[in-house]
Amino acid sequence: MESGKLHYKDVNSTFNVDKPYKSRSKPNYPGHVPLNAFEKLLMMAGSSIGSYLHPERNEFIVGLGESTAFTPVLRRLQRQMLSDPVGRQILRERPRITSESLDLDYLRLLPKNTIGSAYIQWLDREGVSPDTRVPVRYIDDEELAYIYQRYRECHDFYHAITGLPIIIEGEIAVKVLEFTNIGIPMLGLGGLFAPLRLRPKQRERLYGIYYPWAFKSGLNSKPLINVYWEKILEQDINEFRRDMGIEQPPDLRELRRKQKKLPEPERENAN
Amino acid sequence: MRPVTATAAFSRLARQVQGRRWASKLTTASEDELKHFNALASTWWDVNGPQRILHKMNLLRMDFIVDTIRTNLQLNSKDTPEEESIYIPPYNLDLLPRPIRLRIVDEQELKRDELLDESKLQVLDVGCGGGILAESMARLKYVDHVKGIDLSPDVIEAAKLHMKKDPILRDQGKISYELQAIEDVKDTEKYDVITMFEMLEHVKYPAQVLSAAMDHLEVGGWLFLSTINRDPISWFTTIFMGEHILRIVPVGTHNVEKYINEYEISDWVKTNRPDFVVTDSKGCIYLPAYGWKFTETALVGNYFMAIRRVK
Amino acid sequence: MWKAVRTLTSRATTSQPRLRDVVIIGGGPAGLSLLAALKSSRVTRDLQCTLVEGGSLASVQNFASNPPEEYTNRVVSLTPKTIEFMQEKIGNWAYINEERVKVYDSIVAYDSQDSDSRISFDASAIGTGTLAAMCENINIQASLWERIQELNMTSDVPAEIMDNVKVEKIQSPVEFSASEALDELPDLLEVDPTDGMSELDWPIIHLSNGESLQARLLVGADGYNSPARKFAGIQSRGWMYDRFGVVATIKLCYEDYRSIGWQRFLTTGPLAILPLRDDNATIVWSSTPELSQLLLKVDPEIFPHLVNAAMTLEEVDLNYIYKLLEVDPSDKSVLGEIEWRLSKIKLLELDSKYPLPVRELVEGSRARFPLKMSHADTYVAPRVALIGDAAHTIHPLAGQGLNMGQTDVAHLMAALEKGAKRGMDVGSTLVLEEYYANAWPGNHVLLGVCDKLHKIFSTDFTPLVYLRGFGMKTLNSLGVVKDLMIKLVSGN
Repeated sequence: MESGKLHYKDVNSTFNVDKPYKSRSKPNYPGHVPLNAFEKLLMMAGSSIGSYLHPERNEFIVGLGESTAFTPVLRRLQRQMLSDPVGRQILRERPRITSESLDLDYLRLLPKNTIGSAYIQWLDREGVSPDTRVPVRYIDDEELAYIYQRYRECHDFYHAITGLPIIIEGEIAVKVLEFTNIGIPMLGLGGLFAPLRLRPKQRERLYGIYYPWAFKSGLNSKPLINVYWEKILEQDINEFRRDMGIEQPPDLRELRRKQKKLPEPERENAN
Repeated sequence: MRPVTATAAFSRLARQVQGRRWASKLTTASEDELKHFNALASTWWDVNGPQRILHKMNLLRMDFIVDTIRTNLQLNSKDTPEEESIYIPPYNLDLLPRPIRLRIVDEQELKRDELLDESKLQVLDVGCGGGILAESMARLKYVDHVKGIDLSPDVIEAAKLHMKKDPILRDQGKISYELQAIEDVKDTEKYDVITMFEMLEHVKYPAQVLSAAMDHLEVGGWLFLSTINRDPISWFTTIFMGEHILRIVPVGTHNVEKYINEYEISDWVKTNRPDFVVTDSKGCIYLPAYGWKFTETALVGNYFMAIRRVK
Repeated sequence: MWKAVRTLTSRATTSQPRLRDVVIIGGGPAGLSLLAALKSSRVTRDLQCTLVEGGSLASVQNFASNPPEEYTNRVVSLTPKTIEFMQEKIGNWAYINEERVKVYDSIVAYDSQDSDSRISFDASAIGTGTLAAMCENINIQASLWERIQELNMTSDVPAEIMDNVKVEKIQSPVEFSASEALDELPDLLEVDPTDGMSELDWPIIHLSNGESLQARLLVGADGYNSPARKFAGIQSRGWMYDRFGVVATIKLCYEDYRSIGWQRFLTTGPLAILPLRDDNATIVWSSTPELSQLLLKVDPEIFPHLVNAAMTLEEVDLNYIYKLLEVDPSDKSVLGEIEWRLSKIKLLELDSKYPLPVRELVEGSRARFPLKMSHADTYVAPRVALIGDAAHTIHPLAGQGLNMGQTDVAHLMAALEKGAKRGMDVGSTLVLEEYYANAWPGNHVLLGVCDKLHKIFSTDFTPLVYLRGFGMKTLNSLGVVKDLMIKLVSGN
């Protein structure tokens, strides 16, 4: 006490304090926004309410996706990819699907039965571009972030090979296919809750035709995440479907058109 | 508790004939008794058979005998030169660091081994039964010869047969058995060790038997004996549990009145045999599933005693 | 019945078996240790002892004068207690080639499903500098051999070692009547005294060199398929793990200045990499039968990388690599795969959380052996005692096999010394029972613990993976419990 030992104050203590209470850790890859557990929870709650009320608003859907694609699910996806030669190749080469990486004009020149042609036809029909995908920001692990990014970028190809439009029913059908095939829960959640907002006729179609199709194709087909789309653009689309074990669903836009033309009783029969 | 033992059989016999035993010096047994011994003799050496408790007790007897002999060896005689003498620290060895302690103990043990190797002990086992103790004693390197005596011809026969099952005993002639009472042993026979286990509590004149045995001891020689204190605990363990409840020994084997208290023997030695000293006595108890174990006091229940001739 | 005994005896007498006090079958570390210990003890040194070994002990005899350049692949872990026993009781430690012994002060074990689920044992926790020492089997055998030679020089009753001699038959000189037909335990002492009593009831061991020995005490140090155990009619219970242990001697990139033994729990079984002196190391890779076969035939150039991969990469990567190698065991493309996946791990983590990379495989050092757990119901029968693998076999994940054998020797020696001091026949169950009573329970606990550990870690069932990860992390932070475990494992 007298030597003052117990009262000794380390002059360096101010320099030695741990990180300040609230501070963001360093990003693990360009564009990464590290979140803490509480923030992740908050984001999940907010985005799920938001996307239910405003399904048309992209940032809610994206937020919901990233917040519900929690690590174990992405790890499963990662394991799926690492078990497969093509999956591993994708992870090693890290291809990105953008309007720059894909020569869209070249795709338009391809024969009609190729995947590339189907893709560009679908893009043109729906009026979207590969660049409409938002970059991943909230997933911590760099490789997992890429995997999620890849999943998002491939989403349009799923539409293309199934021919399903981006109207809400088509979107739900593709999501269910992805959920059963890949297993990201956000897709399952979407498939489960989104129909609540549908009209009865839409719901009928979904439950009668597209749900059974999506479950069957999703469970039977090989993991779609392991498809190196960029390398098979010239491949025959029917051959591809056969190889993967995916059936061609009834054309949704065609169906809707037909049903609108038909009188009431016949419409019942059509179903 | 008193197991069915060589000495038990002998003692039961002794009890029946106690009146004439020491007077007539010749003992005979009834037909019934002999039949019983026949049966007993055949299972004598089955360590898992009815004699198991005796076999287990023999382990403790040997510990008592060996430890007493070893610890009472004089490590340094007066004429040992100082540099050759064994260091015996005048304080508790546990105070020393382990390596030093081990070394001191080892040095002492080595000296004891040397001293024992030089001695060729003559042993008399009184009431030897099937020879359980006699065989153990005979296997010790420092024992030259063991003579076992008993009053039952059948157990003596069993002992003689079993001896042949070990080449060490069979071929070296270290054991002899005789159908003899202690008072029939020739006066000229002198021994370094006389053992008398589990028999004093069955004879009518224990003092006379003790005295007879003591007369055959060399100076410095040992008499090892065991018997039972006359107290309620002994009654409970040996008679109530041993005879009536667990039926380890036949009912009627024991008689509390014949039990001898430890201090009675000590006092008797002090007053009647000044040439002898009671060096040690230890109580023991049988714990089922464990075996025999030394207790804290020799004043309760069964006990062993070591008496040494000092002059 | 007595006729039978007669004829048997007369047959026995024609071949005139040589009488021995102790006959040890098996010249492994347990058998040699017992022989050296018997001859070292002042109480038992006068017993006439013979050790019979079916194989050749030439390499053991030559080890001291001419040790092999490379480490042999049979390396065992010695606990401080075993070393102390060898120093103080057997006295063979002085003959150990200490330049080929590596002392560890810590051991790190981690989970393949989550590299943060790890537990590290540190010797400082128990106040000694040694947690375990890695030593070649042959080094131990050679030191025991030297010790026995030293003792024989001064002994009146030298120990006898017969190698290249097989035990052809073990026979009981006394016939059993009904008990044999009923397949009961042969109780050699339960013989009718009026006749059988005069006969020696010692077992007769017929040897391949035409000689036969008759033993007061027959010690089975003759391994898992112990003929001695079968002779005594002792049941051994246990099971095969459907796993093989693959051992190999390897070279690290450079000498590891840390004295750490590493073990990773893969779902196929634990893989341990145990550094030896300089840049040497030995591995024990418990694996499925298919994987173990693959490991033996993988290109020697690829093998070191495969070990590195198995110590660091995720199981999914490993399975992918195994698949490639199944097709072509010298598929060099796996090197690229391994390098790429290793690049995903931060350098700092690679340095601190994993063992040093392996550089090369010592040619011809790969071997595999089946893993099993077994425990004899008892270690003793009249005139028979079992030690080492004859009594128990254990999963190698805790490195306890040899040490359990040494514990057996210590307990058996204590019982024999006590018996000899008491003037007992050392082949009597009265003497041997004490060995069984003291050695069996401790071995049983160790066997159980290692068995459970194997089972817990051979699953990738997610909830269990989380649970064991939680368990490992909790244990790692619970100093008291960990210290207790270290004490158990190090034998203190």
